[in-house]
Amino acid sequence: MADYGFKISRPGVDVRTAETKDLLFHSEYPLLKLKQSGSVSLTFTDTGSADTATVSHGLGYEPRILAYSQIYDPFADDFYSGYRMIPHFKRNMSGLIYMSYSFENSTTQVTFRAETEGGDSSQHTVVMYYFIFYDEE
Amino acid sequence: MGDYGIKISKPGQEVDSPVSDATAKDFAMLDASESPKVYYKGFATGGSYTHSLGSLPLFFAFEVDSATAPTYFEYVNDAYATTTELTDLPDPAYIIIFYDSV
Repeated sequence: MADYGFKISRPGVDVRTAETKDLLFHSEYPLLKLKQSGSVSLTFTDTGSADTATVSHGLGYEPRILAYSQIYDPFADDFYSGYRMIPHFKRNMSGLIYMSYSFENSTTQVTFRAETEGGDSSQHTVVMYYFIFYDEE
Repeated sequence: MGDYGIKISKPGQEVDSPVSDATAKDFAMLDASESPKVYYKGFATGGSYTHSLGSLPLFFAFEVDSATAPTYFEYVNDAYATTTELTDLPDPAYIIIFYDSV
């Protein structure tokens, strides 16, 4: 196969001599390609019992994933309605207080997980939103 | 409108090969699949940044030691996104927010 490629430079930059950082696109550096996005809701009790939710992608390989979650923080005993990037972990030295917001990737699905202990021992519901890309992890 | 489009393969890949869930990863760009588009990249001060997306964006946040000439960037995951702003940012911070959102 011949050595073809495709590059697009920023305005004002000669694409033939541009450094990679000045290119908007270079076919040797693939763009992330979105397969699907959405959200899941998890309800758990702040006693160390986790809740999980699965999203199927069926790609046959582990895709790149970016995900964000609302957070119940047992250290502050506070619920944050904004969304933090996950995985997000925190544990004190004794392990008696911890929070864990994460996802596990496989060749067929993504499993989102929320688990906390040591706060107010009540039930919490968080929403996680995610982006699954065709690009391999 | 005719059935036009564009696809660009990775080096060494045949661009004429069919696009499917199994082969999409072999392309550098596909018009059938959105790629993240930068809404804002730059410095933010004061611990927050207001965006006008009206939805929850894909974003990254970094702690920096200067908003003009930083000597380091450190990824942080304590920042929060809402449909209108990023909050709990380091001050100063370097942020990248994408149009792509949920």
